[in-house]
Amino acid sequence: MEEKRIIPGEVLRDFSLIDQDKGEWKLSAFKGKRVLLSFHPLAWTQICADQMKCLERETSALESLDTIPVGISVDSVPCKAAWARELGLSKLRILSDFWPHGQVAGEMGLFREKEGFSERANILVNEQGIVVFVKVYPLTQLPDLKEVMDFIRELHHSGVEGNVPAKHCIVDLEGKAVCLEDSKNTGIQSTSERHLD
Amino acid sequence: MSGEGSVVLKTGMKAPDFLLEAVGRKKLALSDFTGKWLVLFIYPKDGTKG
Repeated sequence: MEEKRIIPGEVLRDFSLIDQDKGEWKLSAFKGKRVLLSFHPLAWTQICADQMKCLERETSALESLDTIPVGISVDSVPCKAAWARELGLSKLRILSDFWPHGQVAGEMGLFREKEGFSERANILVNEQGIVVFVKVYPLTQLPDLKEVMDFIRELHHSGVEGNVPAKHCIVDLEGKAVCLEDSKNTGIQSTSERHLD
Repeated sequence: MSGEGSVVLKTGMKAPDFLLEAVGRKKLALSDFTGKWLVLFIYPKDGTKG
C-alpha cells in the first residue's frame, strides 16, 4: 500500500466512502465544486476533534466558496456516528476509510503503515478533480484552516481555476492571484499572463 | 493484514500470546493472565448493538 505522496497537479481517482449516517459519499458527485479532504489519524482524540469542529464551524463559509469539506479517518462508521454525536456535528460529513483499511489515504500516500492510520493532512481538489493544495501536518499540530480558506478565497475571487498546478497563490497589487508553480521552481507566473496563453 | 500466518483455533491448542492496548493506554498480554481462566469476547465493531 506504499504509495507516492500526492502532489498538486495530479488528478484523484474517484472514490466512495460511507459517512457517519451510513450515506454513500462519492467524490465524482461533487464535480463542478471544490472538495476539501481533511484527513486525520483517529476519532476520539483531542486534535482530531478540534480539526473536525473547526471544519464544522466553517462548513457554511466553505460552501459559499463552492467548496465541500469532509473529514476522513480509518475509523468505522458506527464509531464515526458516535463521535459525530459527541462533537455535535450537524453539517460536516465525516467519512470512514475503514475497509479496505485506509485505502483512500493509501492511494494518496497518506497512510502510516506502522501505526495503521492516516497522516493529518488537507487536500484541496478543484472543480475538475485536480489536486491544487496539499499540506501534511505534524500529528500533534492542529491544521491551520484559515490558511486553506485564504487559499480558496484567492482561487474563488481571482477567477484562476482549472489547470493551475498551484501550490501557493498570493494576491498581487491589482488584486489578481499570483501563483507560484510547484517545487520544480518554474518561477512566478501571473494570472493575466496565463490568460494570454 | 488477515490470513497471513493465521491459524484457526481448535480446542486443545495452546492459545497464541498477544499484546494489545486496552482502554486507559494499558497494554495487556494474554500471558498476563496465565494461571487464570480467561474469556476472550471478540466482537465486530464498537458503537453497535452487536
